[in-house]
Amino acid sequence: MGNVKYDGKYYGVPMTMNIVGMFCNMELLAKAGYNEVPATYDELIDCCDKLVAQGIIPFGCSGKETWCVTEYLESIIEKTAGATALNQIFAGTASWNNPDVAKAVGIFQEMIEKKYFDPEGIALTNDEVKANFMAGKYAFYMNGTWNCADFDKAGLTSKVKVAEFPVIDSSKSQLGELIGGPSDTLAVAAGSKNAKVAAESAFELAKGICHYGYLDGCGLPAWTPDYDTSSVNALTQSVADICANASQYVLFGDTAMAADTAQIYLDYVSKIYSSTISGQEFVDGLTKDIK
Amino acid sequence: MGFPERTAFFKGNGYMKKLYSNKLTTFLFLLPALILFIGILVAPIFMSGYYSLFDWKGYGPKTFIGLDNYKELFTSENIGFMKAFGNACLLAVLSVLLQLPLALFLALLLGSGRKGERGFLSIYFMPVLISTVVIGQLWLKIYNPSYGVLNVALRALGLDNLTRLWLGDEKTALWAAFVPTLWQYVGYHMLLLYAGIKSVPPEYREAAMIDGANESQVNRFIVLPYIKPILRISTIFAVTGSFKSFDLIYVLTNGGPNHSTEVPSTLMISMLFLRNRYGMGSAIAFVLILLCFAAALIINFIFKEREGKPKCKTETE
Repeated sequence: MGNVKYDGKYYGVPMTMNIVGMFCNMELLAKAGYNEVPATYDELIDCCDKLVAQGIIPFGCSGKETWCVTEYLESIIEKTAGATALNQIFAGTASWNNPDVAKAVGIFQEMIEKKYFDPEGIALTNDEVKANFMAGKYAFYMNGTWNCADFDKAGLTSKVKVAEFPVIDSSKSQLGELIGGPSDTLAVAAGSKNAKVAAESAFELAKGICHYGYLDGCGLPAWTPDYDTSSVNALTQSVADICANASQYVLFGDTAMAADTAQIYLDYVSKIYSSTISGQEFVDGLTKDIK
Repeated sequence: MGFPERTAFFKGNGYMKKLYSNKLTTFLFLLPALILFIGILVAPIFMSGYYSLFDWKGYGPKTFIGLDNYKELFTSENIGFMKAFGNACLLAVLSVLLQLPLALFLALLLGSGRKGERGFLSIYFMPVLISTVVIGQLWLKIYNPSYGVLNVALRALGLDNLTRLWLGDEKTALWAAFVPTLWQYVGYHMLLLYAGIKSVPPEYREAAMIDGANESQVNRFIVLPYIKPILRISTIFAVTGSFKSFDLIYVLTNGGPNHSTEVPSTLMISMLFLRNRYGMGSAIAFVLILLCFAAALIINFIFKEREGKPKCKTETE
């Protein structure tokens, strides 16, 4: 709720929440000898190597929509530098000039160099990449958990599992540190004619949207459910289980930052995905350009 | 023969003459159009100029910063205006050197009365009628790295080494985005020029033919000088259209990858609606307007210079 909290007071009510999930095609993972989602980073790398050796593309990521790249990059930074460090960077209370960030970006680029990512992804939209994953082209797809409903409707629940990205540096991060959180909120302008009534309405409206959004599998409950949730699809329920063990959330970088800063950040992320700059140049550039 | 008849009309109709001589009446008749012209065209230009002097998010308080937005626009690598302007200039050059000659060639071909003239005219003009978004989607499919017809055809011809991520590679994205942009408006310029070619009096052609001129000589010495005013308009439309180009680039690449296909208009939208920099977006809009005006004036000047040395006599001469 940090993104709606200012000076100790809350200024918005969440309608829904989502996290970044690592969706795994278990049929493809089985071909690499994995019947479960790789639990550690070393296992993930081993799994990717085996997938590549068999001609299977491990990850699909749209380069045309840079926010999709952040789903990967932020997860890797978080699991390398830790959620607290990333939250401070996004909030502007810590500098981008952090060696762990440079190291994480290097890890991401190494994954690209090792052909873990579909090279065509850079020219594709997220919808195209998602369609490829659903068609069985990629073993993994990291994206928002709002996709659960689509995967469920496409009948993929039996072969797709969702997990969080494994920890890379256990001295700084741990499982349960997630990218996401309640980002969509309703707020009422202080100058509204009937601010109190409007705020109460916004409160009820947000709860209602959250309620039905969760039941439809389009998001996670930002409010504690006090209703029957047995009809929620299995993938969304898996995500709810992950969230139940969450220790810390880091809001999506381009949502947490101001609009102008977010675009500068996305520009650098795009350069990372196309390997135009190195991890250190990413850190140096953001330190210079984001004041 | 219009002028003498009109004089006769005025002589025989004192009321209309009085009406035309009344300045207030003329002004009142022109007023609605004038209000629209000022409100829709002139005022927004001045408003853009005004907002460009502020640091403003588009809401909340504004801070007057003078010409700082312009200084940043032309010097900041982060914004990348010079790159976007360079891309627009390249598109303008390609429009003049490729699009217009192709349009002229087709117009001359169809204007000389070939079989199926009307049908070909409709076919070439069709891309102009289709929504740009639809054309963008069509070309997105053509360029798709997996199933796009371009890569599929190259693979079928055994030219796998020539297949590319056409819109995803910085080296090819700009050219790949320009091809449909140029292709779409060939028909538009062709139609303008075709109309001009069709207005060449047949007796001019016949006289030249009797004097022994062949078709290419007729085109060169009769038709081209005759349609020079239309060529000038086409050139102005092509150049200013290139500076203002937006829709197809937006659909195909949205300025990416890594701003390699950015043009001033996509940059302006990014500043206004993604980065909440309304002042900077207004500065780009204002510079764009000035560039278009300057381009129109320069093209007019160049054509007037050349019109000073006519190669054939026209009707007005």
